[in-house]
Amino acid sequence: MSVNPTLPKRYAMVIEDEVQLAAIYAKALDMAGFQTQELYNGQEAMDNLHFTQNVPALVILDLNLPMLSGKEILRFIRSDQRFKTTRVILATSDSAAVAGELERKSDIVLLKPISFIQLRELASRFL
Amino acid sequence: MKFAASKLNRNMFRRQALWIRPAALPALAAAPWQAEIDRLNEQNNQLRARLAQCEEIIAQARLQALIDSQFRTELLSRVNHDMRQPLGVILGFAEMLHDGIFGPVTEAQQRVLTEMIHSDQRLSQMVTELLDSARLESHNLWLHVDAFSPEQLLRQVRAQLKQPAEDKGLSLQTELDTQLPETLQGDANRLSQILNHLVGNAIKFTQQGNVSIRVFPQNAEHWAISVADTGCGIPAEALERIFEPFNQVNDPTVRERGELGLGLFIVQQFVQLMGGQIRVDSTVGVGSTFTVILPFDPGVMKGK
Repeated sequence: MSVNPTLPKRYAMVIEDEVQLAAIYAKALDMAGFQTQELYNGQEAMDNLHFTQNVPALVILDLNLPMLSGKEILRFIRSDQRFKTTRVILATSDSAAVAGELERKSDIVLLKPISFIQLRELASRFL
Repeated sequence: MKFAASKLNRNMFRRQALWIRPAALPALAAAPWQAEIDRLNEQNNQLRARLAQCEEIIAQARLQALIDSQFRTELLSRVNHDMRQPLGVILGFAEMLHDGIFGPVTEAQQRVLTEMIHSDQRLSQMVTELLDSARLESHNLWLHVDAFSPEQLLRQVRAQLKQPAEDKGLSLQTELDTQLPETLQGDANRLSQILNHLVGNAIKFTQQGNVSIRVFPQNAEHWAISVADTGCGIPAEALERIFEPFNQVNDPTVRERGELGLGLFIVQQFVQLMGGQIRVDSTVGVGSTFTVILPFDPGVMKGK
């Protein structure tokens, strides 16, 4: 996979409370060519989204987060015009839990355990 | 006299008493069936009371069974979530190691890592099957019916299973009948699960030849998906049992692969929830064809 080093990297957020999973997702996104920030709980992610000047091109969002659920964060992203071009990959432990609204509001739903290789390839398509 | 008087009084009393008693008897004497009616009424009341007790016991047992199965579903749902986290960490790190991200790996190490990755995926599949079967048991499995593209469904399944088919030297063919509408109504996720299972099975039990998936209109009210393979086939006596849960428990080859034998049971349950049916035609040594027939208009929204 080749990433043009002269272009500024696009910004991506990984919102996942399991630190090691967040690190794996972030590595996949880094390798796809993103500049990635890891956030470990729902409230921290929401605060960041409220005040960020750097609109993420891609968000990997875990559904089950402490303090504020991934559902609330997804609703916020989809209600704020700043994020109209932001792609959201929803990571879930239960595909039945995301059918309906969550599925419609996200770009892709991935069932955990998520393949590092698959995530890296998907992310590179969103560059 | 006193004695006589008193005797007379006693007789009078006795006579009176004797005279009164027959007055109370006519009901018994005149209607001998009344005693039988009373006896039957009494029996009836006793039976009603026992029936009410039994109904109460059954209602409590049903409630307890429902609570148990809902508790089991809830428990499995948590286990599912908690297990998928470490499964994700193992899968991610194993793939990173395999890809040489942490440094060069030998061919032997790559083989070990490939096994680790496949085991992780199998374990994850088992957790999904256990959760689905618990949800089916507790009547807690919902279908999410929406418009979907059968072409996209086929593309997805092909993308996921092309590599495993090619790894075995099999060709995976897909065919979408042009008579079929561009969009259909159904639960695309569950349909994808059904197809993944049927095609995965076909690949597993086919040593050479091909696996072909066809989506076509069955008649004016139904459409169908067929998955055909050129595999070992299923003996007639086993065909009757293939949709039973845990039917493969005594099959040592299945035990070796570490499977639960829940896949086809779940597939059949999903198909039935969708208002459809599944049939299988198989000839030993020639191959098997599984056909899922579904209504164009899915009226069923919730499980059993």
